[in-house]
Amino acid sequence: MKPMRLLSIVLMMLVLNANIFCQKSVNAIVDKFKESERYEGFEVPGYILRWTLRLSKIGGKDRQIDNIAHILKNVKSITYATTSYDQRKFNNKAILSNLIKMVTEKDKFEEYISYKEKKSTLSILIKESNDIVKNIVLLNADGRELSIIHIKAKISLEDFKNLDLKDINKSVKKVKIDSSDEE
Amino acid sequence: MKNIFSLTIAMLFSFGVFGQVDAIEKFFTDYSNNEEFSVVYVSPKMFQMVSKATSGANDPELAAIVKDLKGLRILSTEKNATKYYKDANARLNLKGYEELVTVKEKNQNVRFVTKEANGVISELLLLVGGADQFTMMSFVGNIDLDKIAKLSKKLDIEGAEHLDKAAKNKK
Repeated sequence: MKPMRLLSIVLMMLVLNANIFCQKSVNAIVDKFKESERYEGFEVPGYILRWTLRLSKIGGKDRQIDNIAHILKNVKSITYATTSYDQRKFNNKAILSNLIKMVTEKDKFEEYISYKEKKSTLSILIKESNDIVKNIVLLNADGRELSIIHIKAKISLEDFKNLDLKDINKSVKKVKIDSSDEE
Repeated sequence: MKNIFSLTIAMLFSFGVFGQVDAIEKFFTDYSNNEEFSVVYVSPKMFQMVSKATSGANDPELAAIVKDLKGLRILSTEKNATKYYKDANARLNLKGYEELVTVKEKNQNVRFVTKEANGVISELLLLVGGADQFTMMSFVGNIDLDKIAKLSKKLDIEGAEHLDKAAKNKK
């Protein structure tokens, strides 16, 4: 093997390893959930997302959906894991606080937004460098349920430029109203 | 001697300011784990990110508004609202703040206070207390009331109408 090629392979391995290690805490949380009895979850690789986008031909008509689809193209993977613990034995809020601490202290994620209502708490943690969002973690405790969503991506802040916050807010409100209708 | 005197006064003043910041912070912390409350926290990082993401985009106005904001906290409840409103007024010593708008209606009290330094508003605190709603909202940063009112309208935040009143009153 040519030395240049060997060197590039070694460098690539190092970069990949660094990427894996920088989310050690997130992987540990997902593994912990997997060990529990009530675990449910999945992982969607980025290429499947891109295929789905292509097949469903999202975008084109609605500019806002088109912009979101553009952002989704830069998602490398989405991992979702959920479990539930007996509230008589476990304090889910305390567990969630510990998980947030773990992610922020070990892997240097930063809490961007937190929202708490009644028995539900949501925290959005982001890791970015040089205006590129590489990891997004959503941690949620809702009653006895605990869940984590981990989005690995390479989203530039430029990609968000075409999103209209008012439109998004309207969509969120619509989703809330629709879901309350279902209840 | 004169320098030491000025330094001591400056230190005492800063302790007073920090003490007040702590009182607001403590109020939020005390109730953030209470299940009766809804709590929202938007970090300075989030504002920075939104500012960068919107600068030069099709919404430069939003970028300009968000650029100078450093944090937002909202605490609200519909239970025991009057009790919490009284508690907030009693616990928060708002001496260093300027009363901007006070509205006293049948069922609702609204207080808008701001903290200013060198003609720039560094904190905006909103207290809403009524029979069935207590809200405490704190914006931190270099605040332009007009811009905050616009931002709240853009995001359709509840209470934006009060911010509008405050902006008009400041003029």
